[in-house]
Amino acid sequence: MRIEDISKESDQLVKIEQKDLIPLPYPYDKPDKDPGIRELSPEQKERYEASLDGVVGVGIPKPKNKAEEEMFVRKFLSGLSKLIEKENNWTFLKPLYHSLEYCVKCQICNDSCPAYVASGRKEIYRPTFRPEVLRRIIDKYIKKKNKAILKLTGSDIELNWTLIARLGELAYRCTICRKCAQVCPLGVDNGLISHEIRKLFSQEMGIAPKELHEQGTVQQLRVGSSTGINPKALGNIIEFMEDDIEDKIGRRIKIPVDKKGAEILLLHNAGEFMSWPENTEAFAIIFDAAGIDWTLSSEAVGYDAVNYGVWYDDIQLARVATRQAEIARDLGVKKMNVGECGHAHKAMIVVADRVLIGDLNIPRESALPILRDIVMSGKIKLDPSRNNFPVTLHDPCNMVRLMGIVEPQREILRKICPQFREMEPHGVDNYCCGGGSGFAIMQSMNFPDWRSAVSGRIKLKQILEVFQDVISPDVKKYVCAPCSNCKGQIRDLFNYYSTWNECSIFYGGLVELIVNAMADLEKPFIEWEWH
Amino acid sequence: MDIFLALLTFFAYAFIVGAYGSKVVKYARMPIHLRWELFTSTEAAKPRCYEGPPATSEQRACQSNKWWLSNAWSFLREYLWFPSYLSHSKVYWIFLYIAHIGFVGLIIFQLLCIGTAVGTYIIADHPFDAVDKTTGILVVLRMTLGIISFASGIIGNIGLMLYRINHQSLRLYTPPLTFIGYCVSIGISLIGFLLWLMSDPRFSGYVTFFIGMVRLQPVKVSGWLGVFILLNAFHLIYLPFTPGFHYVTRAFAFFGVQWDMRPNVKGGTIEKAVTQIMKKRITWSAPHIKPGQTWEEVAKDKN
Repeated sequence: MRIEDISKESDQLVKIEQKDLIPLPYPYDKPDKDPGIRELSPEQKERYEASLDGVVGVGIPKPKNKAEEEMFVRKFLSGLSKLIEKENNWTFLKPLYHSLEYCVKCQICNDSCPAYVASGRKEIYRPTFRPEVLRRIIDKYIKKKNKAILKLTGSDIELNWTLIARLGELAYRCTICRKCAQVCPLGVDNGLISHEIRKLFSQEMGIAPKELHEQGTVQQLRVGSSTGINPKALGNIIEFMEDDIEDKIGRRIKIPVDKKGAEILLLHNAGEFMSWPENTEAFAIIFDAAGIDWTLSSEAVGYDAVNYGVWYDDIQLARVATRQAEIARDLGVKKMNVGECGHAHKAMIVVADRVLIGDLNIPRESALPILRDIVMSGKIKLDPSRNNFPVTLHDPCNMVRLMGIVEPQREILRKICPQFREMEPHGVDNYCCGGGSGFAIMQSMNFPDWRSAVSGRIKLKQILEVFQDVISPDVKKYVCAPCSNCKGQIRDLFNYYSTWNECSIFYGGLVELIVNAMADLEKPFIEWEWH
Repeated sequence: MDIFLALLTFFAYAFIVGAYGSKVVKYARMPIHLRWELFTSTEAAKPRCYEGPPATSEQRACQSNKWWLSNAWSFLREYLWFPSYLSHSKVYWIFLYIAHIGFVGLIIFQLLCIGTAVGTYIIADHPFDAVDKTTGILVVLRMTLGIISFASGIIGNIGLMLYRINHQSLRLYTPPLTFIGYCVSIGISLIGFLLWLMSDPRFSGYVTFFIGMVRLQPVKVSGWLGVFILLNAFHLIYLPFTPGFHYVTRAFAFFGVQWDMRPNVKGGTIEKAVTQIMKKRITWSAPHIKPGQTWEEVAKDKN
């Protein structure tokens, strides 16, 4: 296909066929092991834009009439103008400008994109495809270059509803893992361009996946958490966790809440409270055993580290980060520490660093180095033989490639997991889990199938490869993923491929492994119950 | 014709300096942006950047001389050897590398010719005659640079053009202007080569042309040299329309974005810049944004 085909009406621009997907290792080396991507119903196709690849992630409703269609195009152009002006897009203009102007289209970045490679190299997923479409629209409709120049610069493209709607969906086929940017010798960041397209849709057109916006940042600011947990429910959850800890370790631990002047305000992704309470319990057990002066907050937003704004909307990013910092300030804590959540690390510690000023500029850190220091200090007695099963580490892109936190988690695993093994590639060169940039929580129609079959495929391949010598279901294996969204994606990926049944590969966080190795616990902390 | 070529050359140099200068000014005037760094190698990630509170000794370790030197070295290595391209495709790399030798060689060759012209004008009583007498290392350097850059320009650009044509993924994304660029580069190199081979083995004529420009007395040029000067001027005017300025702008991308980890220290320059920019009014118009609010107001607005 040609780039300009994106604006030509058709049932489906690209068809994802099983035979095109990259092969998986044993026991998924036979086609019947691949569940495939569910077809949308005729009603869904009728209602939403699905002509890109037959998948719906955002759910852009089709226009009812010509006027609606024209308004849609006008809004898009208005947003696009703002995106390239310093008055309106100070937040990312410099890197965006560089990426739009200086890509030489050498295609070096192609091989690093998990979605493009896993899909069998479908043109629309190529990391340079979206930027090229955007560049052409800017040249023709914003800069209004004349026809001859457009021909010479290869910038001819027809702007219409179909193109814009497909581009909106396409911005959600990139996990913004920025592996493409990592390999670019010119510093071009095609992941950022996906981010900026999402931003244009959200900040100007009011279009974003509901899981990120209405049920995400909006709900977080209104109710307290993107999970819907309000402060009252949090109180019940904490009580449940204290009971659960008592059941598991035989003694009760009081989880500190709203402790004024504590050393650390610990922020968890509230998804942990719902789906993996053992993670937050493990933090409490470790901090208690190590004598750390810490607290949770019971204030709305203060108990949920997530900030989905980092994926699609600078304004929502600023709102959530500001509220979290206000709560830390009011509690008088010395610093804020982020638990096992990759995007929250990036959003709060790094990106929000140029939003939080004055008394909101509170020190913000990762919890991983604290855990490393506790494990290495000998403050808690650890018995590695309790973790004597094959363990591998998934590197969350936000913490590792995008922040440089590479070693603390490895130092811990080398000390407490005798069968720790690295997947390839790893560290800053890792592959995204396939659920990055919000994908892990996007559950719209057949999108979860796409992220398991396509964007998460290379991660599954890596996991199967690293455990190939012990792939039999008789041997229990553990993928350590110190990030809530990565865990969510890995859970869905393993469910999709029945990996627990087929290979006994389990997943979980880092702190669970630390507590599992604690010598004074009577029974193992990790229960190997699939959930 | 002589006056035309001299004026065209003046214009071409002024144009490229002005165009590139305006790009640098545009970059420099861009507002502060949100942090968006990236670790390009595990080596670069080794300093424990986010393990300590911002603005403490550990955070500052990221900005230590060792860290900067490590990044500067990887940056320089990319300039000198193109390792990213080499690991991607050896065939592409070899033509790209040769073409860049041709390009950089052509720039240095011209600077040398202009420098020789200016120097000769300043120190010699009869500069037009003096140029024929310039001998020694300057002429050898001029000839060597000229021959290497022209030969590399021909081989590298033909190779790149064929590579782009033959690879669907590259062809699809390559605009006609890029192919025109290859043709111009091949043309300059070919004409330059023929100029050396057939009429001006020491490139004295080219230096003399520049002396004429310096003295504002255009000299008569003809044949291969005339065509060479014409194509070269065209090439200079063409360059600002390409991404070729990545030679300079990539430094902004790496040091100014991907490796920019300067923490926002209380009372520091970043905080001042952020405080200032947070006073900007937001013009985005989605339903969740109240019109007319500043960034500071919107950040504290819980709706």
